[in-house]
Formats: sequence, structure tokens, C-alpha cells
Amino acid sequence: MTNHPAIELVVNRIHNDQIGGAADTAKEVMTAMAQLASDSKASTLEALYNEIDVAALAILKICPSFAPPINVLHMMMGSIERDIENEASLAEAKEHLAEAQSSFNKFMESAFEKIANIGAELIKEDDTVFMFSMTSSVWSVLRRAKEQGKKFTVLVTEARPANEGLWTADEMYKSGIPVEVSIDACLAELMARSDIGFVGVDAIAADGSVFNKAGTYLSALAAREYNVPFYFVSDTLKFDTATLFGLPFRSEAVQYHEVLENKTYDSGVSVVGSLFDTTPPHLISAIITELGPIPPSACINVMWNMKLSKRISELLPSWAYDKL
Amino acid sequence: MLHKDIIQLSDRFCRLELHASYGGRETLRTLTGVLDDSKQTTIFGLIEELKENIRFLLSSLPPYAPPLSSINRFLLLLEKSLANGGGLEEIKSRMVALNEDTTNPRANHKKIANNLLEILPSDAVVYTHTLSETVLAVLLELHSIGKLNSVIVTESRPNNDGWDTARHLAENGLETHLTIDAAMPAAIENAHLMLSGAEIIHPDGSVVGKIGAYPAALLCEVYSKPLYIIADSSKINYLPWGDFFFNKITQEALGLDFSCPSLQITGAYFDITPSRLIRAYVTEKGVIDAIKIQSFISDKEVSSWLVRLVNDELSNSSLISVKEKEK
Repeated sequence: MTNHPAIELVVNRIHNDQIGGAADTAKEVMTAMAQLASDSKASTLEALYNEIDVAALAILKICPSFAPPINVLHMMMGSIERDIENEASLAEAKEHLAEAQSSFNKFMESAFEKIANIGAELIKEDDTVFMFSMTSSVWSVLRRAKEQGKKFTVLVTEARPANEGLWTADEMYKSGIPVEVSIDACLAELMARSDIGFVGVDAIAADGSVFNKAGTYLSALAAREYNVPFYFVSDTLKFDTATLFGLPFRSEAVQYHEVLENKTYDSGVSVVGSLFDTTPPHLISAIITELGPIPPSACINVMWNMKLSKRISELLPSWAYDKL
Repeated sequence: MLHKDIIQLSDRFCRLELHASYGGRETLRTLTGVLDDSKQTTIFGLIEELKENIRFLLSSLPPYAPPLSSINRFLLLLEKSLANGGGLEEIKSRMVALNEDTTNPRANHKKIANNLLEILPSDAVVYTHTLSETVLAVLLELHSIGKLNSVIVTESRPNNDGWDTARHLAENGLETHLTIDAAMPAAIENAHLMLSGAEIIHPDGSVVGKIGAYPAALLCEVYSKPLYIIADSSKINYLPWGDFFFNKITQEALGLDFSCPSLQITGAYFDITPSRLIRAYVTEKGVIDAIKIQSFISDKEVSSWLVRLVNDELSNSSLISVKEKEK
């Protein structure tokens, strides 16, 4: 079965790494899935289910390590699964899919606002704030604190190999927030000067551990060493349902060209390591979500309340081990 | 008057072109050159000239033990020669001998490798950060005798000194894996132990190393992997000087262009690893723990002139005796 052009487009954009981050990827996946449902010429509920299933599979196959796009698939597939179970009409199912998109959009807008307010409360006047890599949720916290009239300085490191930390440096500069940048190896030195640390999230596990850009774990260790409170900032879309089934986070290896660029060593140096690492719960002060600051031990409670799609849940083991 | 070679040496230290051991040899050679080229006709004048040059050098000295040790040896010889009534020519000839009396680093590397063998597990995977002349030589020595085959290296920004370590190791047939500094946790988890060089070993056992060595040491503690400092005993600082120039990382060193010109680059090239994170120090004299470091330096002689010079007290009273002798 051929996919809807909107699905083809989002698959290509994810595959070619053309979307900024996890939240934006989730938004584009939701838009494409809703477009598919709206444009569908299916004459039965089962036919619509099949179209959505094919689209979900295509997206899941190329979906990287972050959880939000997968949670969007849970929402859309879950909606039609419930309608089949409740023997709803095709029109009702389409309506429910449109409602899912609408409530998702509302969630995204309000969650960001709530997180910004909660996070900003933690920043005090004249604080030095450590931040690792880049994430729009932490940026929103910092901007909100600035809007509240607080004066503070942000310290950030490059976050090799893609140097996303430099995006943060640029963003802070544009927002009029004093910022200093350094190399990743300096993060312990920077943490020693910091009053509070904020990082983003790629995925949160049922046990409260957090998967994020490599270097986050090292930052958390340095924070513990210097008694600096260390917060992860994320909406609950980042809760990784695959971990409910005991599945591991899906990591990606650092590529040769990302470290050595065009430099070639005939002698056979191999480049190793992961683009992501996992921070264990005991190093996390709290995860700041739209529900409030959540201790890592409470993550499982949040996940138990999430509505999961049976079909996506069945596919997750193959996705987690890259066997789709 | 400042000697041009001292200015040049100071500039090279500021740009971190010299590593610690080589910097030590260059310091001794340059100070001897200052002595040779001096147009001073009196010993008092000569000492004033040397004082100016040494103070200038100290103001730009990175946290390296060997150059400081070289300054101490130089002043000690000068001090003793003058106390024994030696003239300028005699002092100069003794300085030449001092330069020739440098320990062969290769012999020390072999001794360190042999001492490390006592504690190195068979088939060990070694993790190391950045580039250290001593660590690299020891790893190659261990490989050449069939005792080591696999090493993981982190690139060590800025300058990516770890790339050179990886290249040298791979060229010599070691299985070499290179990764980014932020991936240290996985690198250390996959290794059996960490070997780290040292710019300075302080008497309390803390070690100054390339930035990143300290977080790596923290990770060794987390993963229960032993961290051994691999260093010549000349890296132990027995001198009363701690005001080193901790070179700052520059935008140029990062090799990056920013859209925001006022952006500040922060951080230093070096960090300090406390002794509690270090399992042992492997030197040419044996494998020791932090408590025994003092015993290595208890017999070291410190130039009283150096002490006064760093405290800015060498200008008057301490030179009166020299002045009087000249009269």
C-alpha cells in the first residue's frame, strides 16, 4: 500500500534529520497522521485502520531514539483501535482522530507554558545556571525567568559531536541572557560555578532514568559532586512506553565522520561511543513536567495512566532492537 | 633586561606548544643561554638580570612541574657556586654540565612500563584521555612486549590531542578506539582501568592534568575502575610555588564562529584530580600511593633564592651578602 504524501514527507524529513527536535518531530508526525485520516477515501473503519497502520509502521521504522513521535502513534492508533472495539462509525472515527490532533496541539501549547513557569520558579536572582546541549523546553524556562526580571548567567558546553550547545549560546544571546560557552571536558569546572543545572530529555524510562544527548550523565555526576540541584525538563510526551515492557532505550552510535570529519587514519583507528547516554534516577533532583516537578520514582505512575495502542505496543520490541 | 629567548619561551608556554617534560628541558637550556649571553660584569648585576627573566617566565608558566624544577636546579647551582666563591666562568661551565645531566626519558618509560606490569591484568582494555608522552610511551612499550592490545581514547577538546594518541597507537598495531569526550562514561565502562598522565603531582597526591581528566576520574569511581597516574617522578612538585598560569580556552582554540561577538568563552585547559580518586602512582621508582609521595621528595633541595624570588623578597636583604662579596 502506498502512503499518503504527507506521511512520505515526514518519513523523509525524519530520515534526513531535517526536523529540529523531538517535540517538533511529534508535531509533524501528528499533522501528517491527521492529514492522512482527513484525506482518506477508505469506505470502512477497517480500511482506515489499515491505512493508519501502514503509515504508523513507516514512521516507526525510521523513528529515532526519542519518545514523543511514538506517543503520537499511540494516540492515533489507540483512537481507532478503541473505535473498532466500540463499533463506532467511520465518520465518528475520523472525528475522534481530528479531536486527538486538536487535544494534542492544545497539550503542546499549555504544557510548554506550565513547564516554563515551574522551571523559572527554581531560578533565583544572580544564579549561575548550567545547561547542557540544546532543548527548547529549557530555553523556555530560561526565557520565562528573564521575563520575570531575574538576572542570571547561563553556562553551556559544546555538546560534541554536533555542537548543539552552540545553538543554546546563540539563542541565549538573542534573548539577551548572559551566556558563557566551553568544551564538554570543562563541564565539571562549570558545574562547580553553578547554582542549578537544567537539561532536556529525549526519553524517560519507567524506572525514572533519563535518556539524553551523550554528556548528560557526566553533567549529572558533576552536579552530585558539587551538590548542585540537577533538573530534567520535559513534557510527559517524552515518557518512553517501550520501557514499560522492559525494553531498552534505542541508542545510536557516533559515526566516524562526526568525530574525525574528513581525516583518515590508514592505521585503523575506529570511532566508538553512543550519541546518547542514560542518567540513573539517583542523580536526578526532579523531572519538571506540565504536571509539576516529578521525582524519578513517580515516573511509573505517569506511564500507567497513558493510553497505549495495542498495535504500537506489539511493534515496540522490534523497534527497540532495530528489527522492524 | 628580558632575554629574547625567555620572551619566546614564555610565549610558547602561553600557547601550550611545549608539554611538561620538554618544557622542563627547554627552560634549563634557555636559562643557560641567558647566562651565556649576559653582558653583566658583576655577579650582582647578573643575578638582577636572571631574577627579571625568571619572574617573567614564572608569570606565564602553565601548571607544569618540570620547568619549575629546572628553575630550582639552575638557581641552586648558582647559589652554591657563589657561596663557594666561584666566578662567572666557573658558574657557566657548571651550567653546561647541568644541561648534559638530563635523565634519559626513554629509560624511565621502560622502568614505568615494567612497574605497571606488576598491576596490569592480562588482556586488559586500557582507557586514556588526551595525549601524554609518558602514557603513550608506556602503552607502546607494553604492546611491544605482548602485554597490551586494546586501548580506548577520548579526543580531548580543544586541540583534540587524543587523536594523536589514537594515531600513534594504531600505527603501532594496537587495537585503538577513539570517541568523544562526552562519551567517557561508556569508554570507561568498557575498559578495565584508566591510565592518566600528569602535568604536576602535588605532595598531597592531587594531580593537574589536561581538562577532562577529573570527570574521567569521577567516572572511574562510579564504575569501580582503578585510575593509575603514569608519570616520571620529576612531575612531583616539591617547590613552594602554586600560582601557575592556568591557560584559558579561547574562541580561536575552539575553532568556531559565533553570530554573537560578545559571547564569552569560559574554562581552563587543565583540571585537578584529587588523590582520593587515584588508586596509585606508577613512576620509574615504583608503584606508590598518595601517602608515600612525600617520601619521594623529602631529600629534594629547594633554592632559598627561588623561595625569596617567588615571594618577591630577593631584591634587597638576600643579595646584600653578594654585594658585599663583590666589594
